[in-house]
Amino acid sequence: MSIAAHEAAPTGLRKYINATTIGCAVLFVAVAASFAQMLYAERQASPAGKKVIRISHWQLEAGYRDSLDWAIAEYAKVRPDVHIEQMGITERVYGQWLNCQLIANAAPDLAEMGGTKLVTDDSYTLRYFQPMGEIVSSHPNPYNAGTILEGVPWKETFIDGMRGAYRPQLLEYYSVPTTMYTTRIYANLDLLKEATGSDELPKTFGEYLKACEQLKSLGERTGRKIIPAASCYRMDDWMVLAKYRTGFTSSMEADLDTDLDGVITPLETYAGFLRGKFSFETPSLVAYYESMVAMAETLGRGFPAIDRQQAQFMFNQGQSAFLVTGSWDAAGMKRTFDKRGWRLAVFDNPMPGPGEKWGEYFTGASNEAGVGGGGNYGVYKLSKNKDIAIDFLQFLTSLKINEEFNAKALWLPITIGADVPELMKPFMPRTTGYTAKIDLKIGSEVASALTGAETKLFNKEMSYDEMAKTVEAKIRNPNVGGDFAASIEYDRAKTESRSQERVLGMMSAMAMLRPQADTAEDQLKYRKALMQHVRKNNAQEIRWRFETLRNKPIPPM
Amino acid sequence: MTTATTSIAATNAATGILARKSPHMRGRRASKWLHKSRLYTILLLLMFPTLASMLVFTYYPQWETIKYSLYKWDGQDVRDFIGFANFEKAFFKDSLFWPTFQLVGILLVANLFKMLPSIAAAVVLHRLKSDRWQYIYRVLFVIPMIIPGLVTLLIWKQFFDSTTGVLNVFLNATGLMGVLQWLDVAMPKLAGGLAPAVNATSAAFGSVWGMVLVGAMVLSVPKKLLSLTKIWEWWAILVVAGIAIWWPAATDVVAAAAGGDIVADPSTSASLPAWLVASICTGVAVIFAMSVSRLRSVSNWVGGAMIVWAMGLVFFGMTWTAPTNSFANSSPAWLGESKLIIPSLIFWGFPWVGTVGVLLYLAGLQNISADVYEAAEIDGLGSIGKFWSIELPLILTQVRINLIFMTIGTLTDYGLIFLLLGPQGGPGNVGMVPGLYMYKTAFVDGQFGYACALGIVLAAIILVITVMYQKYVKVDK
Repeated sequence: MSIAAHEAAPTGLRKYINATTIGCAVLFVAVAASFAQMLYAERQASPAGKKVIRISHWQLEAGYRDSLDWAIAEYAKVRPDVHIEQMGITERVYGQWLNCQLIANAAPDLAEMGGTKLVTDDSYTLRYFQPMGEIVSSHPNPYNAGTILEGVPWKETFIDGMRGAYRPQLLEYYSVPTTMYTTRIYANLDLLKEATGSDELPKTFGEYLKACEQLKSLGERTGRKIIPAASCYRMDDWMVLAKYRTGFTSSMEADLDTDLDGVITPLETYAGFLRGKFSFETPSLVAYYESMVAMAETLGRGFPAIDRQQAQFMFNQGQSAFLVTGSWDAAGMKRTFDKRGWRLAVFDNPMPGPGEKWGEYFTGASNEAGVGGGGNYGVYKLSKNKDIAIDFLQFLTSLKINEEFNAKALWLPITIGADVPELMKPFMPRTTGYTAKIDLKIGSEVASALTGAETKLFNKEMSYDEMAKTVEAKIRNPNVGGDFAASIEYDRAKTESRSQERVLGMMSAMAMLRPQADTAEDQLKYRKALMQHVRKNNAQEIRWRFETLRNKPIPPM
Repeated sequence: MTTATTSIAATNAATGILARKSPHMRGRRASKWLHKSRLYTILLLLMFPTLASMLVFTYYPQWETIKYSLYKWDGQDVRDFIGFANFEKAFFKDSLFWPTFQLVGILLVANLFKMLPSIAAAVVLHRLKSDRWQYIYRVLFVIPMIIPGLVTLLIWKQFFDSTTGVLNVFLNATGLMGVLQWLDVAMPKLAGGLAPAVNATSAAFGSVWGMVLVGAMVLSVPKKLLSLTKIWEWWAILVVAGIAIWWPAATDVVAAAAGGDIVADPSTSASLPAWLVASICTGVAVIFAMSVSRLRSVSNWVGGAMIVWAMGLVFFGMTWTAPTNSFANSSPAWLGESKLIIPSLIFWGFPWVGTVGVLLYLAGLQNISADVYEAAEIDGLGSIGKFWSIELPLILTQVRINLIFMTIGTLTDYGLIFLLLGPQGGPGNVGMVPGLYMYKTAFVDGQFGYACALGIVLAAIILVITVMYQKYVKVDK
């Protein structure tokens, strides 16, 4: 080092001022600031002297959190001693997040139920959530006083009678719905008028396809990139395929639904396939797939790569005249359309009409009467304020509050008598139509192959015959096809029954040893539920059906 | 034996005598031992948290994976010991698991080439004369590391978007879309023209990949006369690789022998043993021939030509065999059409200059002594010569580490494909990789025990590849 360099070296405090110390200081300040902010937020969230109720959900769509905030504020007027904290968690991680909270005994007092097996599975629901059968069945909602629902048992004040929240295996209610979901098609009336000369919404499948052709022509004429329809969930089974499959295949119910429960299970579909009740050459099945190829064509080539955000972007930018999605997206769409001065409308999935192509094979629209409620909130069993949590649910589902809460979020109310906003009326569940449909997802590998082949078919990368050949080969493959699915199902049912019988035996032994403990209501209910489950699921029926049909013993798993 | 026993006895006797004769010496030894043991105790205590964490969080889950691979387990309550049934299913009954390795094989080869830009970037950085600029570039390389992976993924997804994506805009603006449209016609024609060559090569070597294998063997024959051990070693590799290439047909033969159904083309299954034996014999014959001094000099040319020919057939005769019709409307859906998904996955991350890779290579390059460069300059080596003779050999340790990471990553990663294409791997399940299949088996199908078995199989494959890298990717410094 030179003498000059020595002379230039800083002294005193200045020698500590360099990139490293500045970096460390910035880092320290950032950490201190976030720590302080966290403490502040914590204090704000838990005001002294108030009971705190935490409510978690994954509904991050536009408007929902604001309307829940509104409901919380209204509740604060009724119960000033309670502070309700809203926790919006992104849907993608909600399941894992709730898992951790439940296992750590730190779950929120009210949690939207779904997204994790710890909620959807009966045994875990029983462990973590509060049974509410007694209160929903026998007590009226006090917040309905002065309305037409005054004195009516709480569960009877819901449009679906809380059937969607009922857990048949547990003979119990573990959650309360706050809204309803259905899926429809949104339309940009201005773009539709520009393409077709009329803003009349298509009523049949043929009219829909014609409108889409006109939209394509508009794009070609003007040089604009127009894809007639965008779908938030691609060719999703629930939103698109199942609706049409019901119409095309419900006529097979009499042949395939052997246990007469109104549902054609994958194994019943397999049995019918083997018995020759239908094949890939059955005209109604061919018609179904042909119509879905036509439907996919309206979504544009390569639609499987388009996700929810991209689909919404296309619709909001005026690149698509139609958007296939659910009622939960209404507020966001309306907000954007209002800003742009465009007209927004909603219509039901158009079905092939009489005299139209495929019309002769189409029996009718699917029934949505069993749609059930949505936004189901359960009360955490270990919550210290269960009574307040239930009280807030009663408040949220009372006539006036539920109407206003859903109107603000632009969702469908679940309470009887609540007004539905004009835009949302087409979303109201259809209570007529058919329910049964074939289910070709016969086991996991067949389901994988079917999904992959269907996507290629809809993308016009594979012909129908190729798809049928691929899927049929998979179904008939002894190692991965229908036989294997039957053996898996048999095995699952058998082991489940065995496990439940063990639990039942243990509970019976405990009841003998400690008779007073057995009087606990939930234990009694659990025993009843298990007995019912064991009776239903002893697997012999699966085995008997397989062996009768195939004339060979059910293969080992 | 007798001498040794006597010697030990004598030593013991001597020690005993010493001990008896010097009690203070015994005390000193005990004190020394105590001191040492105290030191060891402290060291062990210091290591305990790390060891305990490793045992609990690393080895215990792995042990559980091994254990549950022997069970039928649904992730919850159903746990039945079924021995090796899960492995039997993986090897002989599962028609989806092994095909997932086709994509992973393609991605492995592609990723091998995608390592090169990082090496080139590191060398260029290393050769920068200005320290300041080198520092600036190093910082620029580190900055992308702070961008969350999900953001990078969304940027790339947008890049591939069919309507607004940068890629299609660029291809249309530069006229390259026209080139792709032309290739979509020309390439299938070329493939059609090469079909007889592909068939002939397949007939001679079992498959085109068989020719690549034999070519690689010829190319890597040591320049000195092979010892008997070496020959057996090569022979073993040849057999293993040969089996891997013909595995799909081999499983059919085994299944047929066990009374099952043949899924693949019966002619392939029938000819399998003949082609396998013929291919192995050819390979061994070539190795022996190459060991003869007169032919050794041409081994590089022969092996190289075989690989170039076979790879040429793969690229031009077997890849683009039919028109995709994806470019006709000038807005191909790169992630939405089954035929474009693999090219998109390969292109992902362009220009493939990985931050960690560059920094790793740079660290290796900076360890090269200046004397070596001076000596090279005296010997008259140019820039390219220095790279081949000095830099690449001396960073081969880093290359090997990256190679191992890359291989493990390619074989096990599935997050990207899962987020882009969903758990079924997109249209036609074309994006299904082993990791994704394992995930689907566990979390979609609920077969956790079987997924554990698949994980063990995957780990074994990775282990074998890693050992091969350790053994063969090295240089005598």
